[in-house]
Amino acid sequence: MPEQPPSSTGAPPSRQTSPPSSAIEPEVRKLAREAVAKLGVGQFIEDNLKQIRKKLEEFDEYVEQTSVKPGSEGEMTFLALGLPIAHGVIHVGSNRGALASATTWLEKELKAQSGRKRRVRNPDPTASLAVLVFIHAVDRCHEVYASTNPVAWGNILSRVKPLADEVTPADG
Amino acid sequence: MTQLTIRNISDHPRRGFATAEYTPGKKPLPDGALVARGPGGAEFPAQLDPHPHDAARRVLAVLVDRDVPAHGANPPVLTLQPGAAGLPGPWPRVEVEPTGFRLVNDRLNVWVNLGALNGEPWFAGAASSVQLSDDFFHRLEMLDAINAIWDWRHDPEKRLQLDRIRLWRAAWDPDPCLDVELFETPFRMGVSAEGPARATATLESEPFDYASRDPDGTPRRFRCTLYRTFSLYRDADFVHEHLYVRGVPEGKAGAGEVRLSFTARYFLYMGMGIRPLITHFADIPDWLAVSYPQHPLHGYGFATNVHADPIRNPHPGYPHPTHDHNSFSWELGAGNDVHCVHLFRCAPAGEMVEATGRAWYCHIYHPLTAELSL
Repeated sequence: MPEQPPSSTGAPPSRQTSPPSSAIEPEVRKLAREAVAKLGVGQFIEDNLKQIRKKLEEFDEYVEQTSVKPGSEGEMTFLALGLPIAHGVIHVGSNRGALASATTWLEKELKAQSGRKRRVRNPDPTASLAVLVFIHAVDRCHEVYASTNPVAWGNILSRVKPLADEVTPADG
Repeated sequence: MTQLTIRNISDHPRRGFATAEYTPGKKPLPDGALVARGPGGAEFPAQLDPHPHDAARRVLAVLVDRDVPAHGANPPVLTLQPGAAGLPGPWPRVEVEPTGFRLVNDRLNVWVNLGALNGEPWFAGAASSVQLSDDFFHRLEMLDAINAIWDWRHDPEKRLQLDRIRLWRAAWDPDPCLDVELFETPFRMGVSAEGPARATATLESEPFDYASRDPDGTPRRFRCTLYRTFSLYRDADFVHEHLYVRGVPEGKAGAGEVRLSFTARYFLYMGMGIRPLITHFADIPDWLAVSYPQHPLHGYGFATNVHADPIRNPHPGYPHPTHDHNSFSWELGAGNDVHCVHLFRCAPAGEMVEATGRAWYCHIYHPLTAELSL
């Protein structure tokens, strides 16, 4: 199936076939989407989705081809390579005001989640925002491009899963 | 036989570069590439470059890539000879074009505009591209590294610029200072040269008038030009910039020239993230470093022989609030012979700070000195 570019509105393009379903839980997706909206980087991600997809697929290929052990070591390598993209999205696509308000929002959100017995392992709001932006970017790339390279995107989703678990209800 | 004595007045043996003014005598050295032969047959790259504003003088530059003893003791005496063809390359080079010039060595590729860029007039005298090559990157655009590393659209605002100089008047003068805005007035291309030690190019500002009064009220008027000489040495990841304002008394061309004291303001638009790591010690205000804490860990270091005021981020009045975190500015203290180092490196913030402080110490505060004996 030929590659379809993302629409300029940010909505996924129409597809001939259904893409593989996202393994990211709806609650996490919602939180990630909110973080992206607070930071004002949604359009930036859409505008650069093709480049983000390319890098993520490169990193997946690197992890597959190098001698890192399957499992957590590969996941860690992939995340170490990929998370700086999310930091880049924030630092290029957002601004001081939006980052400040997103940080305040996330602190409240994490506090509320703690009250609901959720895991809160990362107390640094900027790092947590980057995690959420990363989850959203992977989710969007998966939505748009998974059907073109299902093996890679299956790998990528499984590599990101532990990160998503960080913001998943501990008792959920 | 022309000899050159290299002194290191610091407390530690070290290497570096040195320059000296040279006035050709009866048996002048030829312009261009030279070799400086030292004890034990060691050969060092050297060159004779044109003086920024005086056709009768030259500037000798030598790159000493072996440690020079500390405390000025046992200074090596080098013999200058023409013909540096045996020195290994590639040599730094300068490429002069109608709209600006490019300095290139193995590590940096720096483009400096004379005037407007892409129809925008405010790029006069600005370095609008600084590309770094190191062990990990090939020509990474340092002024816009986050976009460059992820293949996103580049930011056309990026630049490093000397945007204003200010010439102060004496306390008794009713008009305290003259501001000369530089960012929209094209510079003129001055002399340039390249050789085994460095590539160098000079920008000249449009001439401007400066008037002041003596204590007895006698008016003085000068026709002034700001000279900016950029030098990129072999293997260096920094650009050295030498600044001075040459004032010629009105109606007395060639007589009573002075180097006027001035302050300068730098403007930097560089993608360093929303929360850049800035290091600038109040007690050592001669250098500062700015770092980005994520991949690709790009950083900028600045050092000068005059003090630098605290760096402002964002630059006050920067007109685009959504991107103002990329704007920085800082004022220099007064001086009439100003030397600056602009350092570009991809390194963790701590290493960037150390490298900038070291560059200040080695190339600005206690540089190697060269004494010519003809």
